[in-house]
Amino acid sequence: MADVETKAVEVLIVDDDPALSRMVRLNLLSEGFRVRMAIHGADGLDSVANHEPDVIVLDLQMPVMDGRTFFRELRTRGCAAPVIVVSAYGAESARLELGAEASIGKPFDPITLVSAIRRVLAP
Amino acid sequence: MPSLAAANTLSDASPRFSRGVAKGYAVTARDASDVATVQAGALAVAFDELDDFFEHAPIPFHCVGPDGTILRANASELSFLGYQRDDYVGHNVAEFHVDKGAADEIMRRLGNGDVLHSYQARLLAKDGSTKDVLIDSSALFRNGEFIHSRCFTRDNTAQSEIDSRRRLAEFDADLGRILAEVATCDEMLQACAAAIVTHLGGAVARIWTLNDDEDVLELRASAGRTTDVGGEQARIPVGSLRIGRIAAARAAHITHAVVDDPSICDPEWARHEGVVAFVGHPLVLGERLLGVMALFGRAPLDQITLAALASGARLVALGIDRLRADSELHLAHDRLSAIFDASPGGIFSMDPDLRVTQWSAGAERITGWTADEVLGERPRQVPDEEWPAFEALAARARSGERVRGVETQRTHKNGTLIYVSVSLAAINRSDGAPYGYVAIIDDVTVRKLAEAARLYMEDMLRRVAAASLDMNASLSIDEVLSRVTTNVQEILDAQQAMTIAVFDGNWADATVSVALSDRYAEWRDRVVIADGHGLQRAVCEENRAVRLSRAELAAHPAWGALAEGTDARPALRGVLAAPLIALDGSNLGLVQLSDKCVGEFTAIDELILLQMARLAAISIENAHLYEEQGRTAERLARANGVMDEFLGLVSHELRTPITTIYGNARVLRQHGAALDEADRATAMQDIEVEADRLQRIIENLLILARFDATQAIETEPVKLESSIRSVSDAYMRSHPTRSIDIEIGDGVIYADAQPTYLELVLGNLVSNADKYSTSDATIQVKAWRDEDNVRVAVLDRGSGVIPDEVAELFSPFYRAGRTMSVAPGMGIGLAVCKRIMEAQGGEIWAKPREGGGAEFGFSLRVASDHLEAGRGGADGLAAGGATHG
Repeated sequence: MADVETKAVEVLIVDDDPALSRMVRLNLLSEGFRVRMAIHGADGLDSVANHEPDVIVLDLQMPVMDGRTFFRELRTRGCAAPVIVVSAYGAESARLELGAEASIGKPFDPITLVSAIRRVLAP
Repeated sequence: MPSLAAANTLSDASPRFSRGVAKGYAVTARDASDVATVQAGALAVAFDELDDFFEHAPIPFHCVGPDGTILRANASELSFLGYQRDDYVGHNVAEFHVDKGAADEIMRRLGNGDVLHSYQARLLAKDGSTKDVLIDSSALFRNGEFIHSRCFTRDNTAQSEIDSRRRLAEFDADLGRILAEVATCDEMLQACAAAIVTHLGGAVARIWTLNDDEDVLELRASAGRTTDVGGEQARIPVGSLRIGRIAAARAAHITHAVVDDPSICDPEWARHEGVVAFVGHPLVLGERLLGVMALFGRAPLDQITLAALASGARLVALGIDRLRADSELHLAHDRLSAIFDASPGGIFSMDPDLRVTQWSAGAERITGWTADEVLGERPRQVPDEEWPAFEALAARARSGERVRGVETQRTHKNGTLIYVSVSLAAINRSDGAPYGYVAIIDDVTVRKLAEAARLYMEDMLRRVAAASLDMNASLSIDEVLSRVTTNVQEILDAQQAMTIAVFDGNWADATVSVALSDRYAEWRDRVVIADGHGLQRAVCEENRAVRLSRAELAAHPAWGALAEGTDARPALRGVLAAPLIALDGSNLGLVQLSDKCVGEFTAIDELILLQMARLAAISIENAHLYEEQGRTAERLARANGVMDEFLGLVSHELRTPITTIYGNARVLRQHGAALDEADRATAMQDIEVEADRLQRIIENLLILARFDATQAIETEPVKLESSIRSVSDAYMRSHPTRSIDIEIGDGVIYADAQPTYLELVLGNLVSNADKYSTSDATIQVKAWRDEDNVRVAVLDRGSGVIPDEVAELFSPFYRAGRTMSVAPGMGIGLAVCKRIMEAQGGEIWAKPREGGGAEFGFSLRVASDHLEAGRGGADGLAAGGATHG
């Protein structure tokens, strides 16, 4: 992967589990991505409003605003950033339901996530 | 003239009063003197004259010797009987007597010195005929010796015939009298037999009659020497013996040689009884054989007797026939009378003008009119408007048409309508003139009504069956009730109908359906309340139908008010109500009708309603079960949803820490050296915390799966403060931002608990408080002594609890709706705590915390060895510390 490309990629992680978010962040940073984190859907929307990320890694079950609501609101607001649904249960069916770009079921290898990010960003 | 020589010969042989006697006198004269000779000559003249006198006397005369030999007979006698002299004289006189004993009797009596005057005898003439004679006779005795008899015979045939005819007339008259007077056949026959013997003479007269099978002659009468009707001749098969052959041939049999024919009777008996003659006559009438009549005679039977017997046989036959006919007539009459009176139907006869002449008990029973009331009248049960039809019926019968079972309406004396089946026959006299009518009426009212009822019930059953299908065609209770109501209203023709379904006696939740005719239209929109008023309650509680007419309802002491309308419901005009009974016999409500369109509700209406209520109850129960089933299915679906959600949670809760642990381990291994110190430390701590979280989740799941409410956990004295601090410290280590404040009261030392589980409960409660608290809030853990228990509470300032949801908070997988979006979790932590506490004999609770937030707490018994230690008071904590320090 060209460093130039990856350096440019910013990932927004929307997940209520701080330990998981930290793990993903650490792995993505190690792979050269830039990372922002939000602890629930509403937090995520604020973050996107501030600055649109290149990719969004989205958990489904969250307090305050869940992943589905976040996604619909995201698209309503015109943000077309690709979204990778991450969930322990029904990730793929949620992707199909929402029309998200990719899904990954927990537990996952961080490398799988990296591959998915690269795939959804591929032209 | 006979020669003298002959006379001499005779006089030698028997010198008696005869020509021979005269010769004898001549010999005597020859032996006399000349004077005597002259005298003798004169005497001879005299003898000759005398001889001539006798010889030519117009009166028959004969002399008989002591041995019965006829010594002399004059010309008149020979002429009278038709014999030549030699045929007669010199023969025994008995040969010429028809009656065998007669000669002997005459000789005996003459021998006794009797003089016979007009002795009746019958002499046999040369031509075979019998001459009735009167004999005047005396005997000549010489020296006491019977010399000869002197018999003058007068022809008495004419007189005898007169006598016979008189006897015959008497016999006929007697028979006539017997036939007219004697009532029974046996008496009549016996009297006839006796008359035969009396009037016609003979030893025995007997009469046999033919039995019913017409193959045996039965001896019915016997008169004369024997009156016994038993013995060998009691039953003689037709064709057998002489009697049977007479019957078979239907021809009389006459014989004078009885002893030669053993088929007539026992020859020994005949000989003993002196029976010589027999005459048997068949008793026939037209072609019909009725029996045989026979006379056994001791003397030959003369023509008159035979004729008398022949005519007597005809009379006897007539008598038998008449008595039999009488008997049959009597029987027929008796039978008819019995039929007339015993017939279940009514029988009456009418004259040609249709006036009643006879009236049976059955007719009285059916019509109510007594014989006295109808005799001579027209049949009064025929109503005026029916009279032309009745006359037409009679005309049909008169014309010979068969009038049978014509069903029509009649009026009972009491005015009620009856249905009868009429059969009518016209009776004509033998000359064809109308005699009248016989009518038979049968009361078919019950059958007619039953028929009408059957048709009605068939129609009803069809309608009920259709209604049943209709009522069953829905599974919604409201719809079923509506169908039940409209169906019963329509079928039972009521202006008001109401169905109330009540489940489990819950009248407050009763479902009601009402159908009202246009007359009650104004009530249609009103709210009808199933109030379970007295009548409804009676029907439902006793599960019985109630049927009251308008008047009965209005006068009813308890329910009379229903006859008055209210704003909520119209007045009830009579009522018919039936319970709805479930299959298990419990009540499901009732169907109630009021205001029958025509008349009042009947018993049949009640039966139909009961039947329909039965069917309706099934439909309602089905619908109820169906709706219940729907609700159960919904509950199950919800439970399934919960389970799905739980699986999602479990997946999430297990997979998330695994992902974190795995991802951190990977980044540490691959990029550990490149990471800054803080990131590396965080990653390491996250691994530790997530592993700890994983372990607690697994522990909780295992406990949830393993424990049930009845299971007890083995406990031991656990130093409570140590456990609290251990859990608290561990939690704060893994959650460095969270502060936990611990407050241990006096007397809190050792509790009965299982240490691992106790720490799990504490951990769960702390974790729970942590989850719902803001990150800077402090969690408080308090423990205090309460009598023989210690209580521990974990307090937070989170979203708190609502008292109503406390029970559910401790249910597995329950997550309060308003907290679901606040914190993740599976809803198993509190449930596990509850099970553990119960298994340790403790309690667990949740309640709102004063000032906001929640309090979750539990109590445990103080360990028994340490009960006293804690009660002291303030130094409990110190004492505990001292004991286990």
